[in-house]
Amino acid sequence: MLHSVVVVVSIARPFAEVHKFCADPVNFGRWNLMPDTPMEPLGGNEYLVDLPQGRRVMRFMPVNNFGVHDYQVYQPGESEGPTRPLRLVRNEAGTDIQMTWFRQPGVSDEQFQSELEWLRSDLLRLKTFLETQAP
Amino acid sequence: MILRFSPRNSSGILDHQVFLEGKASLTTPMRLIENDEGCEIIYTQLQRPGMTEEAFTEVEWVTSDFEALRSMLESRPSNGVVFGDEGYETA
Repeated sequence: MLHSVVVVVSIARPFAEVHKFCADPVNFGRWNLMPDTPMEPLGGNEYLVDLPQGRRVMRFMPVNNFGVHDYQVYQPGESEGPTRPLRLVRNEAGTDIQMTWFRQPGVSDEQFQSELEWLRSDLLRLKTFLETQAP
Repeated sequence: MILRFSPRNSSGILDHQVFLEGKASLTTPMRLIENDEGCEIIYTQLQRPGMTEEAFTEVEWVTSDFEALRSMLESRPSNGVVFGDEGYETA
């Protein structure tokens, strides 16, 4: 099994609002590291997107009532990648975003810590976006 | 005490709501996720109004419950349960 860490960021917006925002994959292009990144639909729940690490396919989980927004990121031409579990939970009048990050085989301690820092800053950017700019 | 569980689902959501007479119900978020050939339970401990810092960080009773669950599941032979789109089915 892989070592994992759950990163939690609290967002001062109602669950329904955060869930609705996350349920539309196109919104990913609005708050990520490179704002206004085009999300090119590939059919189904797949989108082609330019990420800091290069051009990737993102596949999002179908919309559900549990606040689950798992997704996969993989190279164009591949059929799937590791699932990144992401869940929203109600926290009084706000919402907690919980993301599980796995240490993939071959990733050093140092690299893993750096990935976690990237993830935290991504989630904090989402928090800021939702608390100040959305919808 | 009445316990209400999430409907069966394929996302591994195992939330449960506790109803105690004369008190507001409490919802506890819980999720099972796949990790390679195994899986992990994610349990969210919320600091409820009136809950002391000490009570909030004291999670031994939670972890001992999960250790018991882990021992039980890991000591049983696999029973061929299949994880399908609509939940769990026994093959």
